[in-house]
Amino acid sequence: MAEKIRRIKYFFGYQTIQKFKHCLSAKMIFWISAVTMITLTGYFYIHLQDTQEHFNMLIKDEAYLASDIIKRSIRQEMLLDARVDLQRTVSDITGNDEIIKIRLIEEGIIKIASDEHEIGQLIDKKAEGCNDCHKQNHPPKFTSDRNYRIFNDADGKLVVGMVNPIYNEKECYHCHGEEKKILGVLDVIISLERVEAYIHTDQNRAILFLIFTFILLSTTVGLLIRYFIAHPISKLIEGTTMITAGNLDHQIPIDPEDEIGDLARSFNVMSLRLKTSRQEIENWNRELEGRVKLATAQLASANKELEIANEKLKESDKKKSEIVMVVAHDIRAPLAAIKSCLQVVLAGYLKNDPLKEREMLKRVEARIEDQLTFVKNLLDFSRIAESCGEMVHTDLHNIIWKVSDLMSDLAKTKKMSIKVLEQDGHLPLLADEDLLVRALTNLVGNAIKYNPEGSKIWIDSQTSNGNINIAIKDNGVGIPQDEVPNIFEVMFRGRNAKRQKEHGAGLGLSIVKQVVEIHQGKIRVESKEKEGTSFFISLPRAEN
Amino acid sequence: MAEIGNHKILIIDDDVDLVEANKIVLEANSYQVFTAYSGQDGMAKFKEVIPDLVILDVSMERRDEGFYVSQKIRSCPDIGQIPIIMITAIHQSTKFRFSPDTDENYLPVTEMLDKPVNPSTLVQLVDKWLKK
Repeated sequence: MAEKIRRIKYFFGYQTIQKFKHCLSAKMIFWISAVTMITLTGYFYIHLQDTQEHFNMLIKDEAYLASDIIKRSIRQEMLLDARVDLQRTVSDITGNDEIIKIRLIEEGIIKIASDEHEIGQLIDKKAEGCNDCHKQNHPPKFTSDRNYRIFNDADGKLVVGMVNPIYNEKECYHCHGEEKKILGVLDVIISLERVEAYIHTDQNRAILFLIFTFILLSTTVGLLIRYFIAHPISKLIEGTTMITAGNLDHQIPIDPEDEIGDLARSFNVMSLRLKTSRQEIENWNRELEGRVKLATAQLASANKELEIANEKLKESDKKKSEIVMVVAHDIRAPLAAIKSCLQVVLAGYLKNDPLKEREMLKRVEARIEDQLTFVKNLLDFSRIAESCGEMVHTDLHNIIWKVSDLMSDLAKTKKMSIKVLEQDGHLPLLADEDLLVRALTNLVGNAIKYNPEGSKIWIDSQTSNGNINIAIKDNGVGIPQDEVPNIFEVMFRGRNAKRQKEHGAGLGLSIVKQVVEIHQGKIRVESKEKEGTSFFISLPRAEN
Repeated sequence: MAEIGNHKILIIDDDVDLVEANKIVLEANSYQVFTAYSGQDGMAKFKEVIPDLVILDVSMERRDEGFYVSQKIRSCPDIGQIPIIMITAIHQSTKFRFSPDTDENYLPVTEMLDKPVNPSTLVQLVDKWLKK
């Protein structure tokens, strides 16, 4: 329990000290009051000391005067040795409150005293009022005629005692003889009650004054400090707190002209600037966010594009390896056939059938021819794929006639007819003649190769809407619907083409497409199985 | 009109010249040779002729056509268990799966040869599988 109390006391004490440490007003009030009070107190103290001394001097003088008067007034009676009268005089004089005791002392013995009980007593030199001078045992010298001491008498009252020596004079010789210089002393004890009271009053007044001053001072200083300093500062603190919390619109409502007012004003300015800065930052932030979003979106779309490109690359890689496989097959298989045929001949199986033998060798020749064409196609395709063509101004008529010329013989061998239909008038083009002829002969050649004997082929040309249109049509086997989207693909051979036992690399149409694209044109196909196939090419007409 | 004792061989291959060469040699060895130039025609011919041995090319209409044909032949009861000699131009280990039940890599053919095959060699193989 005691422990708890101790701890609580300590705690509160600590708390108070902490609060005091923290509070500016408290500190200022304390220190200003302390300094003032100490100064005032110091002053008053000195003043009181001074007063005391003054009084002492005055008392001393008055006491001496009194003692002298008393001495003089009892002189006659002493001379007459009228002891009874002397006693009565002494008693009368001490009647009032001021003079408390009178004693006539001779050789240490009280001869006459206002207090009759003291008569005949030996002076106690060690008594309080006497000790100061009689410290040493032999009688002191009277260094001056004014020997006094202030002390508290037996009743505790403050008194002053004056010792006035009675010198041996001629008039006294008749009783006392000549040898003694001093016959005895007159000891007068005067009350200092009034003085004491006065001093006390003075002291009390001083104390009251000090207390009052203290209160007044602390209060005034306190209020002033509060008004001029603490309150504005607390408003400043409030302001900064609000700003720290994020409220930048708050303006500190202080107006005085002094430094604190200046501080408040500059603070308000600062907070406005902060507000502006913050808005700027927010705006900038938003913009940055926007930019980042944009960049991210762009990155995402770039990423997507990359993914797509990657997929395309993978596909093209796959296609490439497919192509390699197909090419390997398309070279190896014919070579195998060629070899087998030659082996049959060389082994002598046909030695008895020269016609058959010759036929075999012709087959070989044909296959070799096919292979050469295949290789040529392959090289052409590669070359055309990378070229842009050498464009010249020409007329489509020239090209079509060339094509029909080139293919007519081949068509005849399969009893096919090539009919050229054309519009009158010019069909001007920007074209690479060789390439275009090549493309058209591929198309016509396909029509001849893959269609049955007796089929018909048409080459149609006309112009409309700034385009020149070419159509190659036949009435042959047609292309199955599911194959139509793929026919221009590299190495693609349709079922109907394969069925004809004609050999091809699947490059012919790819070449056609390439050439059309080089000429900034478009190509499409329409076909129905067993009815026929039509290829439509449109090329931009050349301005003249 | 098969001669009694002569075995019937069906060649299914889309290369006419190769077929001709093999036919000449096989016929010179007393075999009866029938031909088909596509997988589709091959199956029809097979059911019609019921040969004793089939020589089958791998890539015809489709790249793996031969595999499909061999599976079809094998699925014919009785007549489908004849020797099948498969010839390929590309040594490929592509998908052999024709149905979910079939083992992976299971190839139901008797022999697998890479082109080019010397016709004489081919005849020897045919002899081997038929005279056994």
